[in-house]
Amino acid sequence: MASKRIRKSTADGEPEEHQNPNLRFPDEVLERVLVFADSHKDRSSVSLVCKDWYTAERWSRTRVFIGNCYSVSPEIVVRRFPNIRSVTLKGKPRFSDFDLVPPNWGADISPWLVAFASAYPFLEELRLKRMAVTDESLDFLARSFTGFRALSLLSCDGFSTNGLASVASHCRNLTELDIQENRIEDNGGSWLSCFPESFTSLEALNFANLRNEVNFDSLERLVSRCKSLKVLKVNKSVTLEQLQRLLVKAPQLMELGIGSFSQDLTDHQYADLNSAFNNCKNLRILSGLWEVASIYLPTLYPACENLIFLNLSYAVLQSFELAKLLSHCPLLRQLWVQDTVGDKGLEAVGKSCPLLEELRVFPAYPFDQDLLPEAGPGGVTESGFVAVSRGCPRLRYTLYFCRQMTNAAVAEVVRNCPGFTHFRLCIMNPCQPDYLTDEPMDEAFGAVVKTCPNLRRLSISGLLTDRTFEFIGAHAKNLETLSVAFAGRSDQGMQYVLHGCPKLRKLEIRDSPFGNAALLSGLERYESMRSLWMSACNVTMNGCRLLAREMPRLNVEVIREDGDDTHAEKVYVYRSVAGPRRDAPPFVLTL
Amino acid sequence: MASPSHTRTVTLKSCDDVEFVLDGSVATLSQTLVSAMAEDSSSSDDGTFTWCVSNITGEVLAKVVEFCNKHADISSSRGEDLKEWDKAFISVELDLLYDLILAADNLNIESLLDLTAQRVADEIKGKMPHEIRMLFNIEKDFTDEEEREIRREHAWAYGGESLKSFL
Repeated sequence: MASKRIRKSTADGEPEEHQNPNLRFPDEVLERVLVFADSHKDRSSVSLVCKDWYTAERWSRTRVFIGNCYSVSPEIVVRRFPNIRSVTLKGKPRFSDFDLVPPNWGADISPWLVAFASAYPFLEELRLKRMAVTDESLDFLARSFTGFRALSLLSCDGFSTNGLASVASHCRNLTELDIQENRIEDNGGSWLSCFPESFTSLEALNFANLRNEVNFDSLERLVSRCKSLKVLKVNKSVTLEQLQRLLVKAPQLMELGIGSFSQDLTDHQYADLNSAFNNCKNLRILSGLWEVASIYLPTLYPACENLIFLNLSYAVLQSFELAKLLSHCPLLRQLWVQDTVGDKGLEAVGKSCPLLEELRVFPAYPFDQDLLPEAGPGGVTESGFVAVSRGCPRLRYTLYFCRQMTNAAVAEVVRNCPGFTHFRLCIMNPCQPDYLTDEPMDEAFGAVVKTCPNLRRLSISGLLTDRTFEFIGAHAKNLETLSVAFAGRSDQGMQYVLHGCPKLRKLEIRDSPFGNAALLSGLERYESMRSLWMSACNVTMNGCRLLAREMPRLNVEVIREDGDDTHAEKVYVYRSVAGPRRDAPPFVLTL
Repeated sequence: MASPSHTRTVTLKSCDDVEFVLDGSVATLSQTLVSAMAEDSSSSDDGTFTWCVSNITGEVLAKVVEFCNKHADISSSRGEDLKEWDKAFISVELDLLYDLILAADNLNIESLLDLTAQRVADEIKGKMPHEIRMLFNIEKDFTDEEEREIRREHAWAYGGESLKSFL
């Protein structure tokens, strides 16, 4: 064995003669090695080395990530990987967040669960995003996998608290139940009482988005007996006084989602709450705070010193409230706020958060287009954005909903923060020009793609001509996801992007004047992309048919809600190793 | 029957006849030796036990014994120091690493298997398939079509996005 020797490559790169045929690892040894090579990229490389390595990889694989549930079938996955313990699965196109995907479109978890139940009895973890999940599915899940540990449902729909009751009743080893941003039917808080009294394994519980009151006694007992609880995000039915009781039971929490923050407290209760927060020295992430009463915010301050992420996207705060809070959060990396904080609030961000890497500003009144900034509090503009960029040079992720913007401001923002990887700017009034010069916003996004070489995700808005797309195509070499709404002048715009942007993986477009010529100019690109979404553009059924004919491995789906036989109102194109999907509802035409 | 606790010393003999004498407690790191000693009824009354490893050379076995002595020594087996020691220990040429991982497998020494497996994985990380083949001198036995199919399934179905960006 020790006589085997391999030599390094010679200087000109050609391998020398090897003394032995190869260094062949026994299967069990190779599988052991692969446990330590966990990334998708390494796993992919390993499976392509040779047949033995392919086999070892597939047997040793325990986690799988599927970015589009229709790009593959459950059968293919279970045939390939016999030992999966953890599955992450994404369903509907992202524009379903804006109600652009009709109900009953698909992405049902049930066929996956049926396949997993027979192939993966030891499944432990399921993370779903934008999937359709019924109560029956949750019940089936809870009864099928005895060692099940972690369930995360993000932006899913179709289930109710009855399904959660099944999970609570039957998953005796559950460590995580994370229910976030779902359209869920809330039949009351009794589901929380279904965790058995002997159950103590919970480490993370999030029900922040449920509406109804939960049974507080059950919650309190659960929190008391689950000593490893690190994450607790309650809904707004939980009062401040109740929160105080929970914190006393769980001072070890690292992540806390606060419920309502506005009851009348006696001086005594105020002191108790302050002391409870004072004991929470491990808190890193804070969220929630529905219905904030200003006077109680100081009780939070002692828990803020180690915070790295403050999610105030549900909290309606005024600028002065935010400013005071932030002065106690010197280590903050991520901040989400509502635009009620105004530009003044964002100035405070720039002053207090030198380490900030991510800022999201959400609109408090997204549909109220007429509420101009000068009409009162609410709404942020270019000046708040610039102020943040001046004080936070490490900023690399932003989602910024604003009422007005200028080319010059965006250019300064990216000059101050050239490290942006995600730049999602939403000027809420569609097709709004630079309000100072009345020019299109082309130069703004031109500056973004020219100044930020690491940019991976870009969302554009405002009045935009094809020039924006010309800039993007020419400069956004690392761009992976592009979201477009109400932009462009002609087919040329989309063509610039499809002929540039070598790393583009997702392109989503709505309400833009791109037609068949634009669609078909990307023929050779779509197999290298995960998906293309086009709605309210100028694409026709014939254009889609042509695409489907030319590229048989692509699934070209048209969603038809009206009787129009020529215009393709909503088009969803994606690659698949499983062929056309078999569960398409009547309004989805697969071409 | 000799149980490890009764056996005071174990003699390991390599395929090229190099002998190593181990303390019985050190030998318990190897599940193979533990089982062999448990099954063995012939060990001498003085509590010695001899085991021939027919496919491990003296050079490699010396490293294995060095590892076991270090890890069985409770006074030194603590936290950061041991990690540092492991790191230095495993900084070896690839061919010796290969022999070590096979020896660890053969003698079923859990901690050495983990250490060597991690090191081999570190060699693999970030490399392209052809680079891995060159490293271990492995011949590609896929047809081009098979390779294309695997590549496609990987990129299309299990493609590319990290869990972090999902969250």
